[in-house]
Parts: sequence; C-alpha cells; structure tokens
Amino acid sequence: MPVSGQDILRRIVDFAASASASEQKARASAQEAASEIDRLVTSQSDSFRELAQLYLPRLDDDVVRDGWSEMQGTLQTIILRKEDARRQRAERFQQATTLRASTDERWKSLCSRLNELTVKCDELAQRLSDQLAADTEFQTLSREAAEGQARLEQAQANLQQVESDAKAKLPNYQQSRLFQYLWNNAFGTENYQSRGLTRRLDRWVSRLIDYPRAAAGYQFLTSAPSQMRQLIDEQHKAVKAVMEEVERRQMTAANALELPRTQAEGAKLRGEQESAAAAAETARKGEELARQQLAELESPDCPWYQDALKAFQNMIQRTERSLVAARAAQTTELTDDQVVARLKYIDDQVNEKKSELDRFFSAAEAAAKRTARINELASKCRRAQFDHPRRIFDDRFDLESQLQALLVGTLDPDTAYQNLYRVQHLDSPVADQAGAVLQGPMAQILLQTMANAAGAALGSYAARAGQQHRVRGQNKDWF
Amino acid sequence: MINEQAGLRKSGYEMVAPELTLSETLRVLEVARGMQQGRAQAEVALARTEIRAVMRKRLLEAAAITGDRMSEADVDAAIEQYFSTQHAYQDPPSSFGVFLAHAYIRRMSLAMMVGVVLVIVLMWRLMF
Repeated sequence: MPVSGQDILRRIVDFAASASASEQKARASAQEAASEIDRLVTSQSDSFRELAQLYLPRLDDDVVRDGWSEMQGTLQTIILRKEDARRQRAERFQQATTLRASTDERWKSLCSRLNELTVKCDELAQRLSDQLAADTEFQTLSREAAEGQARLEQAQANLQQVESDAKAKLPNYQQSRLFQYLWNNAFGTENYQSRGLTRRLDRWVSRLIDYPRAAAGYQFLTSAPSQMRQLIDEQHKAVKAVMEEVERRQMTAANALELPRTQAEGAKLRGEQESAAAAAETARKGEELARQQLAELESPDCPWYQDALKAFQNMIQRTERSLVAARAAQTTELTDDQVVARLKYIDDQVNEKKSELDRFFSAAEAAAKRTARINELASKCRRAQFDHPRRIFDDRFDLESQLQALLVGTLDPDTAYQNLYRVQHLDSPVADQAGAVLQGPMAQILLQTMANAAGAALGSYAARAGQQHRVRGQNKDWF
Repeated sequence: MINEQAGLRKSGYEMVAPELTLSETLRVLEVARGMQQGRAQAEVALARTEIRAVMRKRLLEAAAITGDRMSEADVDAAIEQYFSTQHAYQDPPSSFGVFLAHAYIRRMSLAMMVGVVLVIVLMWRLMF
C-alpha cells in the first residue's frame, strides 16, 4: 500500500532529530570535560603558590640567600623597594608621633589654664554672693521683686478664674429678655429717658428681677477681666523695673570684682581647648595610621611580600617538573615533596581530560556533519512539497536503509533525494493517465537517460522536464 | 529764673485749657469715679486668693466663738459656694407677674400683631 508524503517527511524529520540529539550529547560531554580542566588548573595554581610560600616563608636577606639562586636578583630588588618604603613609613611615623605629642601638650596646658579660671570664677562668685548678701538695699529689692513676681503669678491665676466665671455666668444675663430690656434702655443710669407710666412699669420689672444687683454683676463680668489684665500689665512692669535695678546692682558689684571679664576669658579658652582636643584626636589617628602602615611591612599581607611570592610562583610554574621535584627532594622537609607529588598528579589528570575533550569535540563535529546531511535532505523534501496531501510513495522503497547510508556518509543528500523522487507521484485521475503514459517503457528510458545526462544535481529537474513535455496538451497541470 | 519761666508756662496752659460748665465737670468726675470703682473692683478680684484666706480665718474664728464644730474643708467648701454664686443671675420663677412682665416688655410687637389681626378681620368683614 502506498505511503503518504507526509509520513515520509515525518520519518525523515524524526531521524534528523535523533541525529541532532546525539550531537548535543557529545557537546555536553565536551563542556563537562572543559569545566573539569578549569578546576584542575585552578588547583594547580594554588599548589604552585603553596610551594612558593614554602620556599619563601618571609622576605628577608637570609631566606633569599638560602633560597633558589634563580630568584635572588628579583627578590633582592623587591627587598630594596621594601626597605625604601620602610624608611619612608618610619619617617612618617616619627613625624606623626611628634605632632601627637605637641597637640597633647597644648591641650593639657589649655585644660590646666581653664581649671584655674574655673576656680577663680567660683571664688569671685562666692565673694559677689557674700557682698550682695551684706547689701541691705539689694536684699530689699530682691525681696520686693520676688514678692511682686509671686503676686503677679497669683493675679494671673485669679484672672483665669474670673474669665472662666464670666464665660459660665454671662449667658444667663444675655438670654434673659427681662434683664436685656432694662439694660438696653439704660435703666438706672442718667441715660434712661422713659417717663410716666413706662417709667413706673419699668421700675416694677426692675424690682421683680432685682435689677440693681444683676446690673452690678453683669457690669463686673463684662468689664473686670479687661481691667484685671491692665492691672496685671502694670504689676508686670513694676516687677520688671525692680528686677532691672537688682540686676544693675549685681552687675556693678560683679564688674568691681572683674567677674564678667574672667568669665569671658574662660569662654574664649574653652573654644581653644575644644579646637586643641580635635587637633589632638586627629594627630592621634594619624599616628595610629602610620604605626599600622609600618607594622604592615612585617605581615603576610605586605604588598612586597605578595609581589615576591607571585614572582616565585611564576618561576616555579615555568620550571620543568623534574627540576622542581629534584629541588624538593634536596630539602629536609616533606611538605614540598608532597606538593610536588600533588602537582604531578594534577598534570596527569589535566592531560587525560584534554584527550577526553578532544575526543568529545571530534565526536560532536562528526555528529554535526551527520545531522547536517539529514537536515539537507529534509529541506529538499520540504521544498519539493513531499508533504502534499496527494503525494504518495512506493511502499517497497526502503527509507530506513537510505537514511542510515546518509547518516554514515555512504550516500549524499542529492542522491538520496533523487531516489525518493523516483518512487513518488501525485495521486489523481489525470495524474494516473499521465502516469500510464509515462510508465510506458519508452518514457521510462527517456527519463532515465535525461536524469543520467543531467547529473546528480539536476537529475530531478530533468525528470520533471520530461514529464511536463509528455503531458502538455493532453492534461492540465494541477498547479 | 527757672521758676518764673515755669510760672509763665503754667499761666499760658491755663489760658488755652477749655472752661467746663458745672454739669460737665460733674459728669467728668462721675466718669472718673466710675473708672476708679471699676479699677477697685479689678484689684479686689486680683486679690481673690488673699480675700479667701481672710474669709477663711474669719469664718473659723466665728465658728469657734459660736461653738460650731466645723472643719477647714467645710469652710473652704462654703467659701467656694459663695464665690460660685457671686454675680450669678437667674430669671425669677414663672408666675403670673413674670408673665405680665414678659407681655409688657413685648408690648410693641404684641400691639403690632393685634393691629394686623384687626386689620385682617376688618378687611374680611368689608369684603364679605
């Protein structure tokens, strides 16, 4: 039973996918081998550094003299640079120490002077206090000011009480029509103008509500707060005047004892002391920094030591392993021999991984070529519309062996395509008639001869040309 | 010399100062007296704390004389009550007299209302 073009194309595409999968697998293995090589190289570098540290535990003349002669020149140069840096740093440290000592000295001197002034101010203040205590006029004024202030505060409290009273009691007056009638008519004052019956009746209303007492209360509640405020202002001014006089007498006595001048001197000195303290702190930090820089020269993190170590490491890396092993054997310690053995092991591992990497890489390349051949065949089949719904293939055609041959390289894509093309046709009545014509022996010979003459690349075109020439005028093309 | 000049200045001010009539003089004195009374009242109000203390002392002495057993807290409460009712006002309780008083003070508006009602009634009668 004929096989559909879609089925054929699907099988070709699936085969291409499986070939691509094997290529991906080979590439993944190559990537893994490359990562392992990177890790081994890093481990190798660490081992070289460890070996360099063993041969150069510190950077001084004794170690350099007893060490590898190949490195003596380089290490001597580094030692000279280090000593130059030591000299400079020692000078800086000395300067920082001197500066710190001088700023400390100044600060201490200012502290001492300030303490003296403080004691002097305390004495002067005590003398002033004694002097003012003996001054009767001053005592009287002080007492007067204190009493005035106490009265003032009490008056403020009373004012608040009266104001809250007014706020609570005034609404009753304002809401009373009887009271407001008499108040608005100015009853009981010289402005009252009513006469006769009206006057008598107003007098009757006044008696009814006890208007005189109510008017006095209303007058008080409306005017007392403002008058109290005025009185409080006057009292405040009076107290202020007394206080000013008290302060004047006190300042006169203090000036006579030179207390303000001493205080001003102390304030100025305080400013200088604070500046000196800040300068001393800065100098101390500078000295500490210089000390740390000087101490750094002896630490393992010293830049010159690190340079020396790096140079030593590079040199060992460039040296033949056998020479390195021989040198290690000459020393009495076992540690360097162990490191050298580790290096040899790493070298072997790296070589092995490199071989693996080459193998995986070659396998990936070969798989890529195989995949490309299958994909080329699939592209040709797609362009020729093998997946057309009416395209059918002879079921006797062995597609699997064709694809395998293409995979291993014994068959090229063009030939495979031609083989496929020969066993396919369009499934239709017109096509059958055309096929019947074309399947005649002469037609077959013609097509075969034309295909051979055109060669592998143009064989398919030659076949189609034959078909179109034979069917033209008799049947319509499908397209 | 200075005193003479002061005297001359003084007689010059007297010439330009306005001459008040008797009633005007009395009125100004009345105003001054009122201001002095207001000021005196304010001074009394400012000294309320001292006044409370004096009242307290007097009440305690009076209670001792009369033999009343009264504590300081009772006296303080009584003084507080006194000040809380000072200058307070309440309209008199409702009665016929109070009603008449309200009617009296609203006489103008009541008269107008009655007049309006009369006019409306008159016009109604005239129309129908």
